[in-house]
Amino acid sequence: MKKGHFVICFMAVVSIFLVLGIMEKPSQAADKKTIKIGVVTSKSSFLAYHGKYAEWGYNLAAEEVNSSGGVLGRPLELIWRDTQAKPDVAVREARDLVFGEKVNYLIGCFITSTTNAVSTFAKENKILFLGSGVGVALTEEDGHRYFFRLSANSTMMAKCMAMLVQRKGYKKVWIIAPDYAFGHQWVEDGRRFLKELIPDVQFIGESFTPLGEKDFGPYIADISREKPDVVFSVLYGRDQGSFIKQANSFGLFKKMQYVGDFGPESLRPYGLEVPEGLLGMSYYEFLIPRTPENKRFAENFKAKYGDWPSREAMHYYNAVHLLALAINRAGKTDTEAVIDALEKVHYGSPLGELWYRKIDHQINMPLIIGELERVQGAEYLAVTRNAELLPGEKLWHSEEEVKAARAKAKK
Amino acid sequence: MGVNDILFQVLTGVGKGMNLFLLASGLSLIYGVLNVVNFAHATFYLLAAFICYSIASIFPGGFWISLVVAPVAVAALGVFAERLFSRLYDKEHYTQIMLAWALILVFGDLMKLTWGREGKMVATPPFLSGGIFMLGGSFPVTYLFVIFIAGAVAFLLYLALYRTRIGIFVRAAAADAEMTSALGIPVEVLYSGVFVVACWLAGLGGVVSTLLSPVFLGADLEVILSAFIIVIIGGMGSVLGALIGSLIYGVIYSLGVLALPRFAIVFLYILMVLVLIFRPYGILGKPR
Repeated sequence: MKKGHFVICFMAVVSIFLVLGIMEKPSQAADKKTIKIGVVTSKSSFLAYHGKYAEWGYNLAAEEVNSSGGVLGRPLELIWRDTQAKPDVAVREARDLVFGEKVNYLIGCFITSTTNAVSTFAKENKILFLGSGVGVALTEEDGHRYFFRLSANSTMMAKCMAMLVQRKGYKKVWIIAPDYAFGHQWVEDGRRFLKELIPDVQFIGESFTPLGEKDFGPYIADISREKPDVVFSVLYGRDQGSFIKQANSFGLFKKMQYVGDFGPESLRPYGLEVPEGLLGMSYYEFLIPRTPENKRFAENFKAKYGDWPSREAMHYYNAVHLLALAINRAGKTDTEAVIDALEKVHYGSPLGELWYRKIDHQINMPLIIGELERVQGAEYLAVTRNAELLPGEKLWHSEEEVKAARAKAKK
Repeated sequence: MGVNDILFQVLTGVGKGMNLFLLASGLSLIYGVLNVVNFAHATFYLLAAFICYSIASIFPGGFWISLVVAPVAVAALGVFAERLFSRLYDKEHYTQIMLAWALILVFGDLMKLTWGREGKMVATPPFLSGGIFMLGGSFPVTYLFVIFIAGAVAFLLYLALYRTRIGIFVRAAAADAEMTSALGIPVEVLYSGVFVVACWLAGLGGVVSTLLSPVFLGADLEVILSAFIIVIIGGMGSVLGALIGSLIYGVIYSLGVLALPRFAIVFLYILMVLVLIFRPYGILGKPR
């Protein structure tokens, strides 16, 4: 390329950027009054499926709030960033949202690692952050004024699964879990609750399997021989998918029951390869509770996005509404005032009334236990047969336990 | 625990190993003949699994169609990949690994664009569902099918390599390519053929793997690691070594789960280290 051509090309590129820059300015000026919410969630990585529903949930709530006049007369504006499910990326994006985009609040994250990283950032910079990792320490040992959890936590889930085992009257339990910190924590909780609820429970055996195991055959042969009443499983995602597909071919479910984490995001990709009747704990089902509010929400969602709402859709829908209520109650956008308000608001969600406990900022999110059943007109199952909605207040750690956990961590 | 229980566990391990054999045999073959460490081998495996998912979700009985179609499709793609590798046959291994890595990334992204990021389940064909009662337990038909297919492939590979004229050429090219070429045998064509057959094997392995687990992105990098351990144990370049390595891999893992479940995977690495120390070219490999 001749030197002259190069200069012309360079000028052309620069001028395009200049034009784009000028075009952007007026729109920013027009939006000056919006209340900005930074959303850090995973739209790529293995959590992309969750991210898709989360996005629908946020958008639906933001549209509802904005069409009813916004918050303090100002519309909400959501600014998206992708965490790639990596803690360092999540913090980098959160930092850019806060200092670059000047967002007022942060919502997002899904797994404990990213939530923990952004929570620490929020604490240091005094930014309100609503996140949804489930590791119990996020609100206990590591809890602080600026973090609110959007979801139930792992202790509540473990308790639900133990209650399901108790409800069925099973005594002989085999535990299977992925072999890393989260799996072990959950197993520890599950074991404790099982002992509490079923005094004569027998732990027949346990399998800790490598994350991403593709062939569970050897484990299944082992479990099948020991004949427990129920397999208490902490596997999720594709690990659980592989396990169930193979256990089915070994005829394992003819001999014993299975209780697992069957949230919609886990269950839907399995399609109809999962047998009906397995026991499950779920975070949200569009059919449960069978109330007009939930039905209206679910149908509205389906009409708009073509699929039934899932756990993430629900959590993030709630997040936007809770935040909007808190800002309205505070009467200003100041972070400290909004936090005080958020500790007090009660929100009539499709699931029932939701609120935050002051001591640990844990939401009273209900969980569902029941059996798997095919969803009418859909190619997947859901936890809807003999389903029961357990209020969060019955599942979470008591205030004393929270204090004890914090005191222990300080030592 | 009786003899039957242990045999049942061993049989499960054989199933696990034989599924990996379809992948490891191709990896070993490519190394033995072409002297290329093809880390992208499992990408063909995963691609075939995704193709199987698509076919199975369109046609009833699609699994059987894809058992024929998908390996051929990825083998056709293998022709193209071989042309790229052919430029690096006489180069250092690291340059080949760079190319393999590039292929993994490019095909990984193409699969992401085509099939999305969610895991996919292929419905088990009715003919293969259920189990057969043996050794005091119900052994799944899918595992028997995997053992059958992989066993048949092992037998056919043996026939092709040791009982046909082309097999003699291939082994000659593996031993001394220059001399073979000097005898007037088109070594380039042999290379392409071996690469394509290896891709076909990977494709077959991918389709068969859908019987056992969901298809998901990134699975290629996980199974290539297992296949690599197998090939190191069995001997780089030896198809029979890959078979022995696969069986050792599956059975040791399976018995490990029975004895010390938390360390099942560790046994394999210990074995690999022992092989590397005492027989670095593997059980049936030849020192180069």
